[in-house]
Amino acid sequence: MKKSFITLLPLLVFVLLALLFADRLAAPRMNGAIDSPLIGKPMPELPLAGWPKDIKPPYIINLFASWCAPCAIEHPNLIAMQKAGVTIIGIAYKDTQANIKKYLKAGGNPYKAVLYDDKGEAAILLGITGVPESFAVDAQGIVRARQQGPFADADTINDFVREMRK
Amino acid sequence: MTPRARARLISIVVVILGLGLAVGLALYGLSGKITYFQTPTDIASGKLTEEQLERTIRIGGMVKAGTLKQQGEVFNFTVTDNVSDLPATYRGVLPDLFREGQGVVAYGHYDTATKLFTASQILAKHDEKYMPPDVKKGMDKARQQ
Amino acid sequence: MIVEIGHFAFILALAAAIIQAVSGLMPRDSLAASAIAARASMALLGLIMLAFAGLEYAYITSDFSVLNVIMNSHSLKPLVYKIAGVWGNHEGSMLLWILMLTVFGALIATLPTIDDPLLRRRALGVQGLLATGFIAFSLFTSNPFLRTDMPPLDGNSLNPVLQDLGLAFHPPTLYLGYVGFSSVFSLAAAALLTGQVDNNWARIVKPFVALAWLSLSAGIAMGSKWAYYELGWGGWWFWDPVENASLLPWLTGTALLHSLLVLEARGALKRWTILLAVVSFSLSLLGTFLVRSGVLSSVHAFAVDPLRGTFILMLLSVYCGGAFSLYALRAPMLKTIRLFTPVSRESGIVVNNMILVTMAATVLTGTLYPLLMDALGLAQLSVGAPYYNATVVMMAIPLFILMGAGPMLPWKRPGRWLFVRPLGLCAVIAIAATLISGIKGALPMVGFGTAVWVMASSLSILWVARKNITLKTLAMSLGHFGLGLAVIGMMGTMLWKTEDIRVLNPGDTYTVGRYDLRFDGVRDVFGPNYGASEATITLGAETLHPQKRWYPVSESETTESAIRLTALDDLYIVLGERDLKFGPDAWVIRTTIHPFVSTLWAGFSLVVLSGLCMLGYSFKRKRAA
Repeated sequence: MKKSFITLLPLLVFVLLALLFADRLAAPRMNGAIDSPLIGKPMPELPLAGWPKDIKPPYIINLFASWCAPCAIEHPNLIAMQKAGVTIIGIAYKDTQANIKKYLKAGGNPYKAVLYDDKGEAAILLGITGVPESFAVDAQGIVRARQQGPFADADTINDFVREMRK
Repeated sequence: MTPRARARLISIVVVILGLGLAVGLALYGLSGKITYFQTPTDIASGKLTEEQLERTIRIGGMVKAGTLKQQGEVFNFTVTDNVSDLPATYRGVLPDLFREGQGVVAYGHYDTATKLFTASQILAKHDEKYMPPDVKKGMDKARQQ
Repeated sequence: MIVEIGHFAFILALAAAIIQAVSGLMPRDSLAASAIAARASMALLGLIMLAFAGLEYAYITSDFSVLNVIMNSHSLKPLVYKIAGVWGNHEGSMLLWILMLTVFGALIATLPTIDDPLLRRRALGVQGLLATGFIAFSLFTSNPFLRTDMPPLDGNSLNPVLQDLGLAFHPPTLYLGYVGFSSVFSLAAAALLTGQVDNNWARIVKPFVALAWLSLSAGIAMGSKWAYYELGWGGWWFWDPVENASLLPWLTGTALLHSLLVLEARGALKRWTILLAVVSFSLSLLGTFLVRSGVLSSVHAFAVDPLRGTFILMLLSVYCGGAFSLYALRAPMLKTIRLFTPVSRESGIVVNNMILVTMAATVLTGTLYPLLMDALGLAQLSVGAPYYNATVVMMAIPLFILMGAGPMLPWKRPGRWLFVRPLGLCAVIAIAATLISGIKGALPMVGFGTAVWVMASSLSILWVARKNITLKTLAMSLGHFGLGLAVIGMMGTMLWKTEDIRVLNPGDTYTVGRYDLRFDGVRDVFGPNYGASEATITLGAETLHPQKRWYPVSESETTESAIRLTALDDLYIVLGERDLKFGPDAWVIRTTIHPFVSTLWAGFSLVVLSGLCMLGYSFKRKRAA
């Protein structure tokens, strides 16, 4: 069999490229947490009726709605977080009490308290970009992290909860 | 030299010349024509050289809430990485999904005299939740410093 | 229920693919194995079609218990976008990818022009191997059939920017191209295994190359056209990594269809042609990896998931690594013919290939350079148009000069310098046209001159052959002419455009270029799933209506530009923001004139047409000995 160096070249080039890609895949990844202007500042006072003064931070504030599909997708994760001892306050964004009651009955209620932001005023104050969106508030009442979109995987959830507990 | 050997020599020379030319072009292209990515903090810290500032640079960060002002077709806004602010201006029609509080990537020039970034192109994004990894990285880096 | 049938069919398909792979690649020569492989490929096609139909059904009936449908559809979406929504996301588009893969597998199994049963069987084996990997990938990491226990009231809607006919049907066309090269890859690997690469193999593989290449050309053209009218910049190519990923196999595919000419006519360039065949599909796979792994930031990229990226990289390593290893081992055994005369069609094609492959390597370098710099921790940078204009665009100039001369060069021996006269005439025409046009600047003049040169040369070939124009001649001339025409369009939009941005009040008139326009205010209109502000711009007796649309479900806004296409130029109008400081109904309007854009689309269309011609003449059975 004639040995030819040239025919080996494509394989070599490919191996180098594959190594480059493997390195990039292993590099630390971006998750859904994008810094919000609130981070590092105290949680603002929200214009919502019935804010539970007796619930002290640290907690997670989660904006959701019954008409929001990704909220339904992240819901089991919220239930799991609550079972693991995380306090979650829910803000129902532009929804009705009846729909929310039905939604929580079907999927379970992970919230220590549910507030209704039917005009979306609290949402504007928090600068959300959509639902679901969550904020991690630490024991001093400072916002530490924001999660845009649903909690999709364990790593994201762990990072988020860790921020809250700092 | 046999005709075969000569033909071979010629083809090898041609290939090397051609390749050399291509590589030369590529290196020239890569050296002078790359756009470096900067954050508002990079610019504010003043560590960019004259030469770097002369080129088109790519800015990434977020549009600071409350800073977007329109004057006809001219828009003034501030790009922030939550550590430093960079005043910017753009003349034209803003792309869809350009909003305060959202990530933005812009190409343009920074003028050290007026301390203003003039954007020649603002990138539209296809997903309002999408922040390019390099923008996020830049912002994280700025926060750590 | 129907969705479950689809899901089940998808799982069975994995078994069929494995059977196809094993029976195809089994070492012993066996008639039974050939039959099994062929039947497996037909069964595979049927099963995947069933799976795809199942998913389509879920979309069309808005079945929101299927996760994929929730994330990518909405009951208010017009039917055609529900149908297209299947492939507007990662999981669904993988299923489309796999569907194309099985279509080409079935073609390999049934095409009568393949006269070597062992070649057919091995090719089916490789194709089956490809199918196995991708079906496994889809089933285990990106299953579109997953259900949820909490179906929401409605879906999450596709991004409205993507709700557009051109964009909706651009992926299937593009995939036909990308995945079409899989059949070429399989046939090449099969040829390496059987050890027979010759004129016959070139004849067999030609229709596959033609189909893949013309689809890829059409897909790229559609993508460019969509970008042009949808993105509001009037730009049609951005050197975005994902765009480059489609350009790379196109460049090597073009080189391949030229080197096949040499392989078929002279039996030469065996190793090179096989290599091109393997490389083209490898580049398709590379593109798939780049788009779906998240290693590159791109406005086109699908949702990021490192697990999927890793799986695809493993598939890439097996398929490309395997093929390149096979090449290293078997290619040296192929008998080669070397001697080419310096001025001949063959050498012309060799130079053509060298330039095309160098262009591809340059684009690949530019695309991966930011990745490399990041991996080495050196810098965060982006490589954009300036780099590509300095390199690839420059390389296109000698390519075009060759494109005009090449088809006139004779095969084999020199001495027949008859082509010098007609070429000289074309050169004169090109130079004259450039001078007459009044274009200034070295680069624009060279660009325009070479484009005219190519067009003149193509026309003269048609003229010389006018008494008996074969599909082959037509293919070549149309293709080259189309490219020349397209270049003129490219120059128009890049170099000679006029832009005007201003604030207007209703009734204001203004002039841009050769157009006198009047702004007649903005009013509210409604579409099936959006509301919009619509401006009216009057040009003589016509009106143009740029819009700013708001889609309530996805809470996003898009700009719809108004374009008036004429042969000479495009009038392109975009509605900006309202500014009350200038008047109660004052709006910003951007008006751009893009000269010769029509020639860009006409040129692309001719290129695709030339591919169809090539497809037409490539279904040849073996000529009787």
